[in-house]
Parts: sequence; C-alpha cells; structure tokens
Amino acid sequence: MLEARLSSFLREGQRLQVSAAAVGAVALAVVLLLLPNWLSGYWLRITTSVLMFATLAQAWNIITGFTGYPAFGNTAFFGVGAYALAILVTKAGLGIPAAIVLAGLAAAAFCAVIGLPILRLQGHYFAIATLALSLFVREAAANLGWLTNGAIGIVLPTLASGSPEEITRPYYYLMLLVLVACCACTWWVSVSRFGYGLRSIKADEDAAACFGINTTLSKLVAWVLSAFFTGLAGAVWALWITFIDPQSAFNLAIAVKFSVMALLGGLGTVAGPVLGALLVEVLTQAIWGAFYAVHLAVLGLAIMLIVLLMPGGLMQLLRDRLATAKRLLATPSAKESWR
Amino acid sequence: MESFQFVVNGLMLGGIYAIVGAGFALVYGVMNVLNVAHGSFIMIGAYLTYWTVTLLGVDPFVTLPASAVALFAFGYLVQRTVISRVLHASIFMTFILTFGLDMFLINAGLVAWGGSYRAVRPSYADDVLIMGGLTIPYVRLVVLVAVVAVIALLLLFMSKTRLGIAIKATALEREAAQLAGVDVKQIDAITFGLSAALAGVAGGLLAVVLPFGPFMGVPLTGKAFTVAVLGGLGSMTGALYGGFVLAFAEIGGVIALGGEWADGIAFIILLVVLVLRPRGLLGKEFFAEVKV
Amino acid sequence: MSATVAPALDVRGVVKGFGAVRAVDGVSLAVRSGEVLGVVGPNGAGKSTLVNIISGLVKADAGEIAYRGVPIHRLSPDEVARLGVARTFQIVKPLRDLSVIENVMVGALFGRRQCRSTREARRIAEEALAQVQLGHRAEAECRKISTGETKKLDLARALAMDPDVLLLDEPLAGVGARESQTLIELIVGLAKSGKAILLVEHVVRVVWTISDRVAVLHHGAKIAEGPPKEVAADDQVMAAYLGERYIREVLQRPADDAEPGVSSDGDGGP
Ligand SMILES: Nc1ncnc2c1ncn2[C@@H]1O[C@H](COP(=O)(O)OP(=O)(O)O)[C@@H](O)[C@H]1O
Ligand SMILES: [Mg+2]
Repeated sequence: MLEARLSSFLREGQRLQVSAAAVGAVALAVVLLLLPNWLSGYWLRITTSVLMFATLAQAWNIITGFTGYPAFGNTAFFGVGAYALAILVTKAGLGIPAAIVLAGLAAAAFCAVIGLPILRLQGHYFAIATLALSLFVREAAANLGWLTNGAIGIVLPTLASGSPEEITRPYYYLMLLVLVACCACTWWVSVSRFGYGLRSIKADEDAAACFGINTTLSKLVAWVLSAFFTGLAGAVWALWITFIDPQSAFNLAIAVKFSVMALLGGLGTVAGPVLGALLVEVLTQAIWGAFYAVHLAVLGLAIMLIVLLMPGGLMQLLRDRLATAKRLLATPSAKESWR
Repeated sequence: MESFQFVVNGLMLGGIYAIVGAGFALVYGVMNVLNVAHGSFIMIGAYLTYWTVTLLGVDPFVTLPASAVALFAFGYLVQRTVISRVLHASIFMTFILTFGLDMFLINAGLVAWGGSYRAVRPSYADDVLIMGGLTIPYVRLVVLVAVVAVIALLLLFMSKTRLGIAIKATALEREAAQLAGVDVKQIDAITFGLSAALAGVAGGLLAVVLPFGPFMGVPLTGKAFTVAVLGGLGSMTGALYGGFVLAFAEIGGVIALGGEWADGIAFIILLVVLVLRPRGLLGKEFFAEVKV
Repeated sequence: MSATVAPALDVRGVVKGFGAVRAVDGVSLAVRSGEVLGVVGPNGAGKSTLVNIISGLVKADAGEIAYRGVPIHRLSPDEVARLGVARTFQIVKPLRDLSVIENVMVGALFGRRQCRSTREARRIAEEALAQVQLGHRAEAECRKISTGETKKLDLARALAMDPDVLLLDEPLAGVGARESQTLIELIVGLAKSGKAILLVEHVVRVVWTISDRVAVLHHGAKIAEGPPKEVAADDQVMAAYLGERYIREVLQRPADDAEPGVSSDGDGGP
C-alpha cells in the first residue's frame, strides 16, 4: 500500500521533472535571446566567448566523448573554418550567411579527406597525429601567401558599428545559433542509432565491428560532424575579431581550453561541455579580475583543485548527487541509505 | 662542413630531446600520466643553472648534478602530494591536473624571475675548436658530451640497478611487479622524481645553447610528447630514438626547404611515421591503451 | 536435408600464422542449418582464432569461407555480421558505459535486423534478455554484473542480431551449473529452430551431448571429425588430446544425466 503510494509519487515526480525541463528550456531560450539587452559590452563579449568555447567543447565531445577519439587537433578545423570564411568574404566577395555555411562545409570536407588515414590510429597516437596535423596546417597557412596572405594575416569587414554592445550583438546571436545547432546535433547523437554505434566504438572498436557497426564510416561521420561545427565556430570567430593570422587561427591554447572545459564538464553528456565552458570561462574572468599578476597561477591551482575534488567531472558529480537523492526518496525506511 | 655541422647539431639537439622525451615516457609508462608540466620542470632546471652560475660563478655543467637532485626532490614531492591522488581517474583528468600545475609553475617563474629572456654564458662561450678545417663551438661539444653521458647513465641505471629494473617492471606489468614485492607507490614517486631530474638536466643544457624565459617549457612539452609517441608511448628506449629522429627531421627540414617550412616538415614526418607505424617506432600494442 | 544445398557456413582450408606459430593450419568445416557443430581441442589449439577468422576480425593467410555459397572471407567484420553471422567472445566484451539492455539493443540495431528505431530495438532486446533469463538485470550497468551474466549478455546481443549462423566461443565458461543448463537448452532450441551453430566449448561433456557432429583441433589442425560417438571411439585421438579420464566419463555415463560445468582442464571454470 505504502509502496504503491510511493511509486505513484515517484512517477508523478518524473512527470513533474519532464515538464520542469520543458519550462526550463523555454525560460533559458528567452533569457538567451534577451541577454544582449541587459549586458554591458564587456560581459557580452565574455558571454559570446562562452558560447564559442561551448560550441568547440561540444563539437569535440562528439568525436572524443561519444566516439572515444581524443582529437586535440580540432583547432585545425577551427582555423580552416576561419580562413575559409575570410577568403570567401574578402577574395570571393560572398555574402556573410553563405560564407559561414561554406566555411563549415570546408572544414568538414577537409576532415573527410584527412580523416581516413588518421582515424586508423588510436589513443595517444591519434591525439598526437591530430596535433601534428593542426600544426602542419598552421605552417601551410603561413606559407601559402597567395591564398592566405601568409603571416601578414587577413583583415575582415565589421558587421555593425556603434556602442560596444551593438558591435558585439550580431556575433553573439551567430554564436548562439551555432551552439544551439551543435547541441541539437549532439543530443541527436546521444539518443540515435548512430550514437549507439559511436558509443560501442568507444567501448570496444573490434567488438563493435562484430556487432555489425561500420566502424570506419561511423567514426569518420562523427569527426566530420565535429569538424563542421568547429569550422562554423571558427568562421563566426573570424568575423568577430575581424583580423586573423596563422598564429591566432591555429592556436593550440584554444584546443587546450575547450578540452579542459569539456573534460571538467563531463564527456559523453550533452550538458557537460556547455556547463564546463561556463564554469571555466567565468572562473577565468573572475580570477583574472582579482589576481591580475598571478591569475595564471591561481587559475592553475583552481583547475587542480577541481580535478582533485571531482575527478569524474561536473556531470558525474551531479549524477551521483541526484542518484543519492533518489535513493533517499525511494527508501522510506532509509535503512541502507545512510552510510 | 655544412653536413658536419648538421650532424653535430642534430646529435646535440637530438640528445636533449631524447632526455626530455625519456623522462616523459617513463612517467607515462609507469603511471599512465601525460605530464603537461614536464616543460616547466625543464624551465625550472634552466633557471637553476642560470642562478647558480650567476651567483656562484661556477661552470654551468657543474650545476647539472645539483639541479638534478633538486628537481628529483621536487618531482617526488609533487607526485606524493598531488599526482598520486588522481591515479585512478581517467588519463584526461590527470592531463588537466598537470595542465593546472603547468600554469602555476609558469606564473611562478614569471613572478620570481620576470618575463625577459636570459642566457647562460660560460667564460669560454665564444671559443671554437678547430679540427682539420672544421670549426665547432666548444660549448656545443661539451653539451654533446654531457648528453651522451646522461643517456649512458640513464641506460645503465635502468638495466643494472634494482631500482631501475623495478621501474621497468612496474611499467610493463604493474600488478605482477606488486606481487613480486615491488612497492609500486614508492616507484611512482621515484619515477616522477627521476623524470623531473632528467628535465632539470635538459633545462640546464638548453640554457647554455639557447636563450630562455618562463614560457620556454610549453613547446618543449609538445616535443616531449611527440618524441615519446614517435618512439612508441611508454617505451623509454623508444623515446631515446624518437628524440634523434625528431631533431634530425627538424634540422633537415630547415636545410632542405629553408626556415619557413621547418616545423611543417617535422609534423609531416611525424604524421607519416604514425600512419605507417601506428604504434610508433618501438611501441607495443598495450601501450596504446587510453582510458577516456 | 539434401546434399546439394550449400551449407550455411563452409570453411575450406583456412590457414593463419602468427609469426612462427601456425594458429590455424588448413582447417575445413561445414555447418548446416539446424545443426550444432562442436569444436573442441586443448588450449591454444586455434579455436578462438578460427572464430575470429570466420567473423572477419582476423584475416586468414589462405583458405576460403562461404556463407550460403557466398564467399565472405574478404568482408569486414561488420559486413559478415550484417549478413547474419553473429558471434560471442571467449573473453566477453560488454560495451562499458552502456546498460545491459543498451548493449543488447546494439545487436538489434546493427545486426542482420538493421532496426531503424531505438524503440523497436529495445523491444527486441527485452525479448533476447528474457531468452537468456537476464530480463531482471536489463537496466543494470554492465560493469556491475557478474561474469556469468556478462556471458549471457553476450549471447543475448548475438541473438538480438537475428543471426542465421551463430559462432559461440566458450559460452558456458564462467557460468554456474544451473544457468548452464538453461543456456544449453536455449542452444539446442536455437538449432531446432533452424540456426546453424558452431559451438567452441571447453566443457567436453556438453559438447558431446548437444553436438550433432564434433571436430577436434590440435595445434591448429583438424585431427578428427564426425558424430560424437565415433570421435569418442577414436581412442588414439581422445587419449592423446583430451585425456583418458574424459573418455571414460563421457562414454560410461548415459547422455541424459550429463552434468554441465565440468571443464576438460579446469580453466573453463568461473
Ligand atoms: N593476436 C595473436 N598474436 C599472436 N599469437 C596469437 C594471437 N592470437 C592467437 N595467437 C596464438 O595462436 C594460437 C591459438 O590461439 P587460440 O586461437 O586463442 O586458441 P584456443 O582458442 O583454441 O585456446 C595460440 O598459440 C596463441 O598464442
Ligand atoms: Mg579460445
């Protein structure tokens, strides 16, 4: 009797959870759309940067979190996207929306070409090969002056003028759009047949093949998707900062940053990379403001502390907390819950 | 003449890369930790040599054993207090942890010693050795000798001493080593210390041949990782070979195509080696395991 | 069954060397639909390598393999699996981070069935789990289940693939006695329903009781093949490769009181 009541209570709770999630999503969408009206230029820039890094972390999550391939060299696609946009806009005179989409596709196509040989490697060997690729593309960008202006870089036109808020606003919305698309894609990966294939590959690639999964094609598609969104983010970034050169477009520090964000947030989850981006960027800004001369050291210590306190990442911590809470609710006698 | 210079420079740089990479590979092999702060250990080694030379006026090569000891102690402590706490987490988490440590050390270096570039110049810095029409800077020759000595000592230590063999055994089969009575936790800390000591020595040697600053370690960590992967991750001997391969590739790239493409060539070589030999030059299958 | 119909699985002259070791040395076998072919042999005889070769995971140095007359030895493992040749692993491969039922869903989604919807796959997975009596563990994390349960999970996933040919690599190793009985009945039932089953097993008595034919491998070569009684009567073979004791046990006890869980050399136990 009591059990029946309790289980109906829990089912009710689940229904409440679902509708709460829906309400939360709508509220979040409204807030994100209105945010530029409330923020100063400084905070709007930081928020845009959070959106960019969240996109990069999320795109990385598709190939690394779901498929298990540590593609630290994803900066190659960021840079290719940025350069493709700059070249399409300044040399081919293309419109901005078309240039952004084509830049994403250029990064995806580049990934499709180099993906097959590199995806034969696994683990650290894959990681280092992607890093080498990224550095090689940087050298190529620096040396193919006829296409890229070499080390001089490319200057891009601005999209808006006026107050700092007005200048940043279009880039904010563009980044938001890219992030939403990337998260939607990741969500699809997390629930779809394709995603089951990727997760099987992550667990055991040989076994996955024996279960009928075309591993070569699946990982290639996963990486191409990742490259596409990374390229889109690179394209919007290039528009935003209006000047790119090989050092800034193929900057490995970006890779370090988005991977730290995704890892601290939680790989293989949809919310993790976004939360991680928010956490790290806010932390960085707060620490930068408070400890100017030693902000790197303090941030370093903070990162170490986070790892020591939650070695499984933010999402793991939340999941564990939630599981504990559920267990407490589900066992009314609470006999075995208190340990 | 040019080719002789090429060989001397290649051997010298290769030796330093080998020492850097071997330390990095040891830590990976024993603990499955990618130590991003390895480059900053090198940086600390460079400053230790610089300050000992500047304050005490001794020969830079004399400082090497002392900075090796100091960095051994430092590495040992870092492992015991921090790294050992996360050995059960995923390799990426230890990666981030050492990344945080790296940021801390770079900033500490910046605060303690400023951002300007420094160089260690012994009294004989400009002397050259003339041998049958060939001129070699005297310093480079000494560095070469030091590099060879360090590598020889390392190989001897790893193959002839109980401790070295215990480290090897732990890297190959942790559980088996434990069953055979090896205190693997102690080995972890000693390995980390040894790796830091090697980095310190490499830093002292680099300080003599190149100007350096607090950020010098960042690209060197990349080289260490590259060298270790080239050799087959986890294999210390492989990393020794990898160091020379990378150095000759870099220097050869400069000579063949001029300065601009040098790095590009090195990366292409790395990519080709990896695609042709997916486990590195000497790597074994089980070293490729990565726990995401 | 007419002799002109191609067997479900036809292995001809397969050779595989690892360095100096000839793991599989010119083995030929055929399995027909509705039949259980037992494959036995001491440790290192090449049984698992043979299964790896048939499933496409390892490429043979020589030889041909046909599925219903169609050559498959040049296909990749996923192509072989999609045709309807499913396998289990001696060292089970649960997909970590996936729950038990999700593990089985993978079989339904990517095996011969090629389920497009995850909902449909879940339903199939539930059925397959019920078949191996693992339904009660459906939502468990696969890292938290016992060795015996991972064996059942492995089998359930193979079943969810809707295979025509089943390659079972020591499916009973590590499974408790009572549960073995369930699995044995299941395997016999599967054969009756028309599947071709290649059963690699250490538990000799089980192989003898449920196989229609038995093949004996040693040092990679097939040294005997035939109905269990005949192979068992081949004294020399049995004495040399399986030990006197087992022949006596097998021959002297009637088949119906055969008790599973006895391993030929003890390494098949839990
Ligand atoms: N990947 C491999 N590399 C080298 N040798 C192998 C490999 N796989 C199997 N072998 C060798 O092939 C032989 C047959 O092994 P296996 O097929 O596992 O035997 P079984 O399953 O009958 O016990 C053994 O000698 C084994 O050591
Ligand atoms: Mg076997």
